[in-house]
Amino acid sequence: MRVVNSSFRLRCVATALCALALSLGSPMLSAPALAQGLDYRDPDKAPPSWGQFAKLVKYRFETWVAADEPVANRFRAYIIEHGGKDGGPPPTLVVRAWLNPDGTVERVSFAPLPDPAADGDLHTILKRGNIGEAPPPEMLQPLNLRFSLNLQK
Amino acid sequence: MIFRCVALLGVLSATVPLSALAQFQPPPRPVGAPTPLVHTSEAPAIRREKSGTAFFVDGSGHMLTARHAVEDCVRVVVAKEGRAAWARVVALSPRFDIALIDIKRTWGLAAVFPRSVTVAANDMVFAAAYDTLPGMVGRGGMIANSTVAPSMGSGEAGHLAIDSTVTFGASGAPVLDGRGLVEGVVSRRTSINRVLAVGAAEAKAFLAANGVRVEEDDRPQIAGSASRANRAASISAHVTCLQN
Repeated sequence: MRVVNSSFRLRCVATALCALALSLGSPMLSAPALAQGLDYRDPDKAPPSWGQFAKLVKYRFETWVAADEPVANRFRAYIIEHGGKDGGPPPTLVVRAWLNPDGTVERVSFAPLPDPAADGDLHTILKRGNIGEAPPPEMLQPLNLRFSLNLQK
Repeated sequence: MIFRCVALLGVLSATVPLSALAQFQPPPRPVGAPTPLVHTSEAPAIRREKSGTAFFVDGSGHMLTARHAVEDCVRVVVAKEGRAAWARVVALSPRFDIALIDIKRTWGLAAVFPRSVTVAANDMVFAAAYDTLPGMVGRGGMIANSTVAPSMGSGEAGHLAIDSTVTFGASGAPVLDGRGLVEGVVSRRTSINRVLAVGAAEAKAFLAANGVRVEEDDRPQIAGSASRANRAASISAHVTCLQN
């Protein structure tokens, strides 16, 4: 299992409909979020090509979540409406992603969101496109990406 | 009243869509009318445009391109994957054909430079105009399309010569080596299939002089069998210079 613990914030300073600006937080290299199997690879010790590909996956996920289209708009509206409230989405989310050799997303997995519709929307969003590059053939999968959701009106 | 009108035009010039900006023409001045002794910021009439390629060099939206692709422009626009943004020209190199521009956000990946330049004559490299990359990627990608050419002497100091068929729009494109590292920035053609690129060492020095910290590594940034065309697409964008 390839683990890239990182955080990113979704931040919107104007309105929910504006193009979202997302920033990457510092990698949390010393505190892997998930149980580490024998095939876990510390990001610092992984080949640079793995790190570059993981950065690209994070960028694509950010872009897809921030896209101005109905499903992404609905998901962001849910986060804005329910974030930080009881029964709302968690402040952080670890997404596990499996990538096909052609750069498409085969599968994503994360702890279910309280709202099944939002949960389905996020699955749809994160599987919708092509990363743009093929994953390094020897790279361990899945990638684990930690998201810190912080949408503001 | 005149100042108010001028100020309004200035505001409009910052917000009108690109298509409208390109079509905007200032009203004709009556014959014999005095020329105002004020500096106006009227929306410029765009009569020409030139295109090139730029690539991201950090995570803050700084991009490197060819100087001749962005100098003497009234506006510089960067476009990638359906998005576009005005770019600010941060610095033009006085010595080499490179320039630093900024769009405040990095779309994709930032380039990685080699710590030490190691390409030699006959090494396979990749260079292409951004606009040609989608076609290459759609056809399954490309590992290399150029070779490093022998230098022709001190007149090419600071440059990397490549045998390449790159054409219009490639100015400012990164030259990627087999590791996916940027070895040069496409500058100009000197003869058929001979293209000069500003060397990575000169590009890094220029960026450092302007406060941009780039990532350096001598290890491969992509798998050996990976398409360099795809990596070029991940770090590059189209740049348009609007001129009047």
